[in-house]
Amino acid sequence: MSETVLEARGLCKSYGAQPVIYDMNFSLPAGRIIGLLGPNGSGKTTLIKLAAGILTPTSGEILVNGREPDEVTCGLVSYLPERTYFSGWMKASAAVDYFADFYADFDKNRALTMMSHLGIHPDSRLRTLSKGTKEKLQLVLVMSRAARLYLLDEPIGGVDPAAREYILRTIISNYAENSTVLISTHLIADIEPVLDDFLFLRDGKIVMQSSTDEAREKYGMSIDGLFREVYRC
Amino acid sequence: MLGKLIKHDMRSLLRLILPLTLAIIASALLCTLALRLVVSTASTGDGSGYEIMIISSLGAYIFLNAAAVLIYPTVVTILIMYNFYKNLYTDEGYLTFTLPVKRSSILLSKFLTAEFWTFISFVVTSGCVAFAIFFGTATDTLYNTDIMPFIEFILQFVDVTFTAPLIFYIISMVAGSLFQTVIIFLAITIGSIVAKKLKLLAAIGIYYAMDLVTSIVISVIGFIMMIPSFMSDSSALLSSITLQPLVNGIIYVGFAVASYILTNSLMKNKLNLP
Repeated sequence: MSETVLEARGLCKSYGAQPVIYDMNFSLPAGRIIGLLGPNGSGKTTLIKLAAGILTPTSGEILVNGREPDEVTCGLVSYLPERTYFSGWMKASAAVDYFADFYADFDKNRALTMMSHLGIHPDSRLRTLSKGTKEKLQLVLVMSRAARLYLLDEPIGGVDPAAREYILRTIISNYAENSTVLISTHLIADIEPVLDDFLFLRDGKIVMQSSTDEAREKYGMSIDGLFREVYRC
Repeated sequence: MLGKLIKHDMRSLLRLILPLTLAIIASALLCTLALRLVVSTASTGDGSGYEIMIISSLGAYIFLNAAAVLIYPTVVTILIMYNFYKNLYTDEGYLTFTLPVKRSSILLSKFLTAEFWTFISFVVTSGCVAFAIFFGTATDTLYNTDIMPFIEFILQFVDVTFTAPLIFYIISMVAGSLFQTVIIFLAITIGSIVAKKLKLLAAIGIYYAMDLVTSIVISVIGFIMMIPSFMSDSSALLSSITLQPLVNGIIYVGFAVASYILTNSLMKNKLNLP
């Protein structure tokens, strides 16, 4: 049995009276690429934000490497939110230096190499970059860390198909054997080839958790097809 | 890690405040020149309409510059608080709060850099005003030589009688500055965590409410302190008045410490970024 990297125990999160995550229990092993899949409002982003420590659970707990989110788990987690978080006045190189300053596991050379592959000049001011390019830069920074857990919230949502392919290759090639990647996305067909496991979420609950191979064998269809079947309107 | 946080916070604030500070210093230098021109024209001129027009124009210019210099510390405070809000409770918070640093270190870094720039704004404002008075009001000499005897006259009163009240007043002023910074941090934090919409407006409302409560507490304690001296002689009343700034300072520090602990606790246990 491989080591658990992310675990939820009776996890609940409400915004006011509205529950978003409801009594969630799961554990994610190390060394897997896991898709966090579900329709809009199913709680994918909320779950990732809880694991990153920028939301506080209403009840229950979420554990990263056995700890509740804190400064230690932040050092283990590489989090890509669905928003751009650098100030527009910064240069791309300053964003790289920022990561290099704070994260001991950050590989600056790898980041600069990936930036050059994606055509991001280090001297570019972030405000001059398109939204997609800023997202690429953030993904480059996040994937240039040797983290235990990568939390990627819609990493390919805002980028062109060519860049998507590069990003997926990057995700596969850059994560270490004992790391786990949790990817939330709507673009299941694009991401399916890289997934080892998946979780289907609906109304803040896990409705299915399986390995992709087992699910394909059991239901005789792709994960994309299974998703359409499960969430048929 | 605290050092790194301070480095990045200083850099972020420097970008906002340095251009403003340089503009204020340049404005104060020009204001001093204009003041000197007004003083020398007024003392040597013949009072012609042309002179009055020049003096009036320069006077308006000096007034606007003086207003800018005096407003500068307030603008610096607004920039510091805007930076605090933006770094922590907007999209930038997704980066700040996921750094591998303690939340208490994030708050301490914000607090120290805020106090540093508040101090700089105080020094710049005081320096600009002193420079304008010292060099701008002279006519024939480089600086106003009449000011030195005035300063010496003031200094002769700085003995045991006046030193204590002066120190108490400075303590109160410093404590008040610390208090203001911390309750604005707390107001922004509560506004950002509690309010669903119009977070900054909520923060401003919370700030004024907390400031009002503190003022009431200070007034009530001040009044209670004075009661025994009303029934006594004038020296007891003077002693109460002298001690008042020190008591205010202690109250400010008490509220500042409580607000700091509460802000830290909210950031640690109740964070919910939208």
